Amino acid sequence: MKLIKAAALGAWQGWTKFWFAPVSLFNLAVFRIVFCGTLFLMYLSRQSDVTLYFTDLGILPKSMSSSVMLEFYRPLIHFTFWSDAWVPWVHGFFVLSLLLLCLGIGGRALGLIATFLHISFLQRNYSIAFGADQISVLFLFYLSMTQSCEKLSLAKKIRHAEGVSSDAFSSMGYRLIQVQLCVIYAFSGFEKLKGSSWWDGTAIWTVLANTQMVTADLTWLRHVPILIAVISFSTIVFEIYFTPLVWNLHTRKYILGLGVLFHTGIAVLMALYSFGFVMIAPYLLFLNQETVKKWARKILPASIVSE
Amino acid sequence: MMNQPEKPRSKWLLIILSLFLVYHLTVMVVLANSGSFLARSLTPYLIPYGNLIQMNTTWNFFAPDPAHTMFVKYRVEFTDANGADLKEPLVGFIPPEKKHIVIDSSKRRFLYAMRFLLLDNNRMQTILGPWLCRENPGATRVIMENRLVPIPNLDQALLDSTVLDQENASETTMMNFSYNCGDKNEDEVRDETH
Repeated sequence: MKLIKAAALGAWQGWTKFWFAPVSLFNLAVFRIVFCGTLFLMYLSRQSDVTLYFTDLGILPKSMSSSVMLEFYRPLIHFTFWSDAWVPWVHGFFVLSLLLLCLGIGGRALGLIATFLHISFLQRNYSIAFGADQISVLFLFYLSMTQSCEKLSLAKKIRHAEGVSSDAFSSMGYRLIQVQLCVIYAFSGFEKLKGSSWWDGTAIWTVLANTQMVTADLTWLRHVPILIAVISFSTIVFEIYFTPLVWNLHTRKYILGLGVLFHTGIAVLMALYSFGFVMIAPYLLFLNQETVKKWARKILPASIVSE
Repeated sequence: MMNQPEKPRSKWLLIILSLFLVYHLTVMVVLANSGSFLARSLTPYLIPYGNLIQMNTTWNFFAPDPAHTMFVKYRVEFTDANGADLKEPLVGFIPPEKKHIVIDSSKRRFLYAMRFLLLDNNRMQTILGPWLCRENPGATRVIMENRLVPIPNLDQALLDSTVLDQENASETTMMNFSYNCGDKNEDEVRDETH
């Protein structure tokens, strides 16, 4: 009985240490800047198309917004309560909220409002959702749990406020971003194992030869078929083994480095820049705070970095 | 984990947050494989929350296999009650670039939206048809062809580079749709899958 009690206590301590021990608010702040900055630019570019995508004058009338999803995926509650006339304004506010969050203004309250609006626009027209949209909803939700605006914040500078240490919600949000990233990679890899072209090692060829997916004619790559096979197999290996390798301190920097290469390749060859930044930004949460500070000092004034 | 002074955490707060975490992590992992028996069995408990915060995604990027090139060729007709043309039919493609390279991010979002709609016949019929009618006031009928341009496999491309010629690539009509702009009940679908 004593053994069971000790094991349960040990498990509880391990659990609470992992999920609720203090985390680096500095790393969270740098993640916030990169992530919200990326979303700001991504959705600013969508602002000119809001009538086409989110009003009854566009592709999908509001009454049909659920029908593009399979019944299994339909939400119980629809958040889009505003009329079509308000769409440009609401979307504009969403874009502004991302800019403010990037600057460290608004904190958790604005984070939750931005998450609500992000989900609302996804619900309104699911057909236009990119992978980056779906992933960023979750990261924004987790970010809104944290005190990411406590560091590298314009609001803090204006008010000359003192920084604080992280609370349990911040730690939980920080860990959820890390775990969610691992789940995305793992399932993305598992799903590929179902495909014959991934087993064959030619799946990347199907992507690169598809003119609707790439930014330039890459069919010349057929002359180096070994490269196509290596990239195809490495993609699966990277995605499936990302989780164990990123939690191992000895292999962490290598798998993160490979991830940066992987997403840079996708960004350049397929013009999926936002997706690349959304996926690479959480890597900052796996790095040592001093490493991130060292990099930040190269871009930002030392007084800001050392606050 | 980091160089921060540790704050005392309320035990009850940690218990409540832990219960939330267990539920949230279950949703995260189970709904990522939403076709599984487990996901179907737990649907009533996981779906309301999972669908609300967009955790119902299966993360199948380029999986199980990357898709081939596809587009829609449409013809918008403007006829009178006797079927006589009131003006020249309008022929176009969705996406307008057809099978050519698109770099502009706004156009790429439209392209991906169209690919999403083309993957499901019901979406084509109920969304694309009415949209083309709305876009072309006075239209009486829209005829759509869902076309697929198969990507030649690597072995074929190595043997014969002419198979990569996009202009002369073989196109397969997967499905034909006809949508009457005035009457939503007279839609016709013709499967031409080869």
